[in-house]
Amino acid sequence: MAAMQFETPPAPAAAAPPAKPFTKKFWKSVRDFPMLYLGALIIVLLILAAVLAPVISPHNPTTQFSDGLTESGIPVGPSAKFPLGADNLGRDILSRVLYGAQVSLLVGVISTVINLVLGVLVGTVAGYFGGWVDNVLMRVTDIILAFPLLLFAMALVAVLGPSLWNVLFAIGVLGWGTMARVVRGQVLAVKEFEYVQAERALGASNTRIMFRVILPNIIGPVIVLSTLNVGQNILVEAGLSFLGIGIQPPTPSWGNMIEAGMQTYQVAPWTLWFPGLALVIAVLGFNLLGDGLRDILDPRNTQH
Amino acid sequence: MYAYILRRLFSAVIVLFGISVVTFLLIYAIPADPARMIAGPKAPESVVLTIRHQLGLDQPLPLQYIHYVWRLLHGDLGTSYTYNLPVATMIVQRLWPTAELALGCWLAELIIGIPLGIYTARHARRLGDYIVSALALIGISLPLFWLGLLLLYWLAYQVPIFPLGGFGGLRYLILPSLTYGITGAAYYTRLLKSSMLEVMQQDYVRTARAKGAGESRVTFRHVVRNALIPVVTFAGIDFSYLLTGVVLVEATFNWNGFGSLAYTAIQNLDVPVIMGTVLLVAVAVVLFNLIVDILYSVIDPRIRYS
Repeated sequence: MAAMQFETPPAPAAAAPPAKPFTKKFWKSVRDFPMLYLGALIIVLLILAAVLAPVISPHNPTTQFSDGLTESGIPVGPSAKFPLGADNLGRDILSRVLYGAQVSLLVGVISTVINLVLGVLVGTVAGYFGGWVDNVLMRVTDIILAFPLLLFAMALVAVLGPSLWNVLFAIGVLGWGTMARVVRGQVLAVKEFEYVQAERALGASNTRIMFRVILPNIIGPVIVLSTLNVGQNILVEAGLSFLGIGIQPPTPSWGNMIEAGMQTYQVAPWTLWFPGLALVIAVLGFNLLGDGLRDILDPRNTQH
Repeated sequence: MYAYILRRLFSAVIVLFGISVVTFLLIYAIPADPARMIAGPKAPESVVLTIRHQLGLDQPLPLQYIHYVWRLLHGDLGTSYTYNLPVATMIVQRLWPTAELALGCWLAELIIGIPLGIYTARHARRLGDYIVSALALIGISLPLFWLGLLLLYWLAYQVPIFPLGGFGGLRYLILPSLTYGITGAAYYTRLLKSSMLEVMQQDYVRTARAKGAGESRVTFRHVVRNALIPVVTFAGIDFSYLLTGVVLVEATFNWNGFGSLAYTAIQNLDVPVIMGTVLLVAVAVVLFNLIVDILYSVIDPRIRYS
């Protein structure tokens, strides 16, 4: 320790102290917001699993191994070759769960981005202009919200044909109702503030006021809702795939793995356990992060 | 008050109109050729043309829409591609099992959610609260169909207490309801807790305490009763979740309701049946929320003026 101090050049006085307090601060904030960090950790692991799936998967996710099934056709349980067991076609469940993370993240995140763009656009314009614009946009939102998302997405995918992009598109285009309502409420509250009035007095355009002045001020609830939205959309995708209208086999998705597990769970329960567990952990990650962010961003919570 | 109800009715009619446009477009405008879907890929072109004419698909879109709404208003939801039966009849036959299941699911949510909400509010920021809150978060994150299959595995296969799915008496209803209850209860728990914590700070609660009312009297007579208002509002929103959840629960438990009907229709790409169920659900959601809102304006006059 002492030798090291001699070898390294003396750090500038101002830069040296923050090094330790930063880690201290970090652990303190971990203690203050354990949910937030647990959620973030889960999501980081999820992203790693998805990105590294081709590298860390022990097998190809669609290869059907003849030794993955017993002679009577029952999937083999967890073993050295198949760490989480094999599925009803003798495929490696661990590899399929890892690749399944790709589908869930892709659908969850991109559909949420579509929700976000549409919801923020509709909500901001409705709240900002008010009057008949607000009336028309909010009735459209009511119509969208009258259809339960899963059923509505189901109908749209049935018409478009089941594929990854259609699932993603359907959830994205149909799921923005809640976002629009929340954003509208926030805009209504913010648009009467002095700094908004001041911008208007200075002659700023409506577009500028809406997206450069108001939007940054309501970004907190938007981030929280989007985070929770990713988890919800992952569940909707899994639901669609479980019903057979989402991601089509042999492409692994946790939803269609559970559907496949439905045929074998009595004799081979691991075909059910692991894809479901992955799904719960992923959704939990986004729910933890969303709730954690709300605790931080909501001023009512920081007062006590 | 009548002005409010009229306004509310008017916007409900607009929304219903929008719903009919959306389902119409999904059935008639987006698919490449519904007539080809009905006739099958191998049918000769003349058959397809006949079907197209029979369905009025050779007419302009707005005219087709008017015919569509006209048929809807007469209770005609179209004809199933697969079974060649009226969709309305098929759905009506399945309504009762679904209503039974939905009621069971909703009761399970309340039975699990409300007591836990009261418990966490009374033990806020203590160990019990943290444990229940963590469980609630897991409950929200659970996929219905997976939980349902796990419960089937444990409580119907390994320990055969309940039947392995199917539709029947109370014994068949318990597992599906429990499945939905576990995943949905968390919303009620969280809502009731935060609402109770808010009410507990009100002056009238302090007054009740000052009068010497006991802790459980304060909780149940004063806090819970007032805190239930947002919970009842949520029940209106929950109705739409419930109708979605029922589709997944029915698919998992092989329950013979209209969710199963939609599920089978998807397997066969039977578009009229899918749209019929979706339309029915959307209309039910709108009407249910309309009724809740009107009842509210009768009970709580403040709402009318907002």
